[in-house]
Amino acid sequence: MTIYNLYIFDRHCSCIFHRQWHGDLPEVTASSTTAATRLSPLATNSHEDNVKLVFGSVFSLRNMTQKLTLDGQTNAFVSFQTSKYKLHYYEPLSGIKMVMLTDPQCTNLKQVLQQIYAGLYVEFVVKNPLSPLEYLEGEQIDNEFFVAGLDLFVRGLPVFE
Amino acid sequence: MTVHSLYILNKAGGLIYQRDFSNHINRLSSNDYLVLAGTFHSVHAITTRISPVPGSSGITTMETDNFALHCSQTLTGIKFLVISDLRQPMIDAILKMCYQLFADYVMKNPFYQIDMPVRCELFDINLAQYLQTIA
Repeated sequence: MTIYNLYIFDRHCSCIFHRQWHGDLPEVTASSTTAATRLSPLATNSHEDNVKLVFGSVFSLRNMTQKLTLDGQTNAFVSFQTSKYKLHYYEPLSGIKMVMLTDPQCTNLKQVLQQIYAGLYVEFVVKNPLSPLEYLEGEQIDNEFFVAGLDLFVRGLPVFE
Repeated sequence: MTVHSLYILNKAGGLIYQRDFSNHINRLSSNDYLVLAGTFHSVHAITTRISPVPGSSGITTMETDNFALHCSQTLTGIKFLVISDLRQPMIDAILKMCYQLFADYVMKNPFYQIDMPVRCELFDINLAQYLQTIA
């Protein structure tokens, strides 16, 4: 089992943090240029495009699940899965969106994302008086404690290999 | 263990069939259903592109707090979406059976026009019958 990526989006839909542990970004893989993708103009998505696509799909699915409810209960989007990866989603009340990509065999990682939010993001980013309240366009979390703590935490997870 | 609804999308992302099988899921307007189908179709295409490893398919399963949505795409591009409980077993068999019923009672109906909304009584009857047997 593997953990590929973690994305954090702020309330203004911009990506404020991205970290990759495994896997290739789509543009550096040679084998992804099969006949179908080579014809497509999107075949070589850059990192920025990739981030936008991740946000777009998560945002659409989140709105979709909010519309489809059972017995009027509130309904939150948790994860989706394809043949090659699984995307886990967690949105705390503060409105930031945390997205983690793992391999499909992975169990539910909502707890893990909650721990990252409460134990690392709140401790090292929110409580840090020097970190900005609102991130500017293109600005990312560059707090060393947060990055180091996250790395240590994720590498220590049983699902990480 | 319930199957809540079935959606069928044509290869262009248009909704050609929508039916609820339980009273628990809330009803939307027919326009909302079309938007939902279109959105899912695009997200399905996008998810093949954001894969960290090459050669991924589109969404096969989506989980929310209350239900799971399963998608199977046929070789002809038609998508079958089934909304069920999180613990519903044999979901692959259900999707396959839906496709089989679709092939038998919709595609073999001489009055059915390809990619147009499905209005075939026999399909409705047999689908309801099948889903009753697994409930």
